[in-house]
Amino acid sequence: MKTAKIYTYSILFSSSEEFQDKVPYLSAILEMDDGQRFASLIEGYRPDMEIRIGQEVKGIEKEENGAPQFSF
Amino acid sequence: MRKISILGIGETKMGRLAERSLRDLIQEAGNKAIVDAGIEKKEIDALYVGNFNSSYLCGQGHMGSLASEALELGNIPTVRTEGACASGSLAFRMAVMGIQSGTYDIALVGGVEKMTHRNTATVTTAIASAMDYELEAMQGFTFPASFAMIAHRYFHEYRDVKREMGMCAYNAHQNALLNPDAQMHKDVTLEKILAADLIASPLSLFDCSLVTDGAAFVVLAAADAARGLRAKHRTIELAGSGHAGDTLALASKPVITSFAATKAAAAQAYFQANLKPQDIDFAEVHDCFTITQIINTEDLGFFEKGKGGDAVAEGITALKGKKPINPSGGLKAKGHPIGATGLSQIYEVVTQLRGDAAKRQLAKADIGLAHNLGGTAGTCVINIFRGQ
Repeated sequence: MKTAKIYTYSILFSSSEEFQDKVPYLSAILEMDDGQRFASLIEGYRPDMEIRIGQEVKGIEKEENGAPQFSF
Repeated sequence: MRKISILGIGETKMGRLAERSLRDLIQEAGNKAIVDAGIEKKEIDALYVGNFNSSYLCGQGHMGSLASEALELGNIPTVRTEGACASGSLAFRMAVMGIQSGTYDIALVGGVEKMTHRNTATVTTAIASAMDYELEAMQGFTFPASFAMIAHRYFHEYRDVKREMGMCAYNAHQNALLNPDAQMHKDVTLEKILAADLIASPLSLFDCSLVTDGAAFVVLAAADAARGLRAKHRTIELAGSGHAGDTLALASKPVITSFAATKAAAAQAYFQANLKPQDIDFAEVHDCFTITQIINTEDLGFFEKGKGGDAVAEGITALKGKKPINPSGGLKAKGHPIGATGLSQIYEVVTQLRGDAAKRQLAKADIGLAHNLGGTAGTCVINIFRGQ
């Protein structure tokens, strides 16, 4: 399973209409080993977690709209 | 190149004006600008209107025609421009090019937006259309989150400037107390600003600009054509203008703690004006979020990279500082009526250069800069004005 590192992130307490049931949630820009970056919501965030730049996240099986999903 | 003068300015009070129509806001600001310019409507050759998203928020498109009808401008050509939060100064930029090409002598430029009649989630959705919908908005991104990510990265690459960001908000609110057109007249303490709830970490409530209704208009003319007109005010000339773009998505930018579009647009404007950053007396910069203000002042060359926060802490950017930033109160406290914001910034720069800013008048105001950013820095328009 591929992994990525958190390039930068934010924990959202206010969202657009579509994500209101997920608040608070973690979105980030992830960086792959080859330097490629992309935006990704990170599944499985809990308010007691400490998040930092450089932290590793893993690709998970679940795919939504054909896009890969990431979690801890 | 043909020289351009700013003949007239007009704006509505910024704020929650949910009971007023787009037409009503356009009429107030547009007619004020025309009267201020001292011209007849029939002298206006073209109309440019910046509007971001009234199609979604108000069900109203075809803004050029609406504004022309509201202002009774007959059959002159009209254009609506859209470049997210830079829509207003894009309209200005297009008018400048229309005059410089020799096609027009006098142009009316306006911006308008109505947002507060919709709930926060709907407004957030509407604004999110200015980012990459598929790659960012569908991953839960909002604009506060995008700039929050920029802030986190800035903290990582330079230092944590959360306190200085709070000071940006404090200065904005202090300046807005002196601006009758500002949306917020609120004397908030730095402690209250720093203690506010998080919206998107590390940004809290006071790090975010406002949701605002409002309109702002300016009349600009070729200096040679303006010469025949009765001068009502100090002559304000457009000394330099720049416009640049960048990727839509934040993740596609090689660097996110500095905006390439600002740097490119600034280089054009400084070159055209034959001025350096240190020649600028004051600036209205795009403080959609407090971190953005700090980054903008670095990108414009006012402060060294990574030192924008220090300048705020030292009081340099305050109203009585050496380089006052956002004397109007900025997007943070004067307000951010998206399509009108770029013109509202120009309104303040011209007001200061004329010496008409009353209680918030700057001690030295001969050269002023307006910096307007669209989306996650995908569009940037910069204009430098000089009082003669």
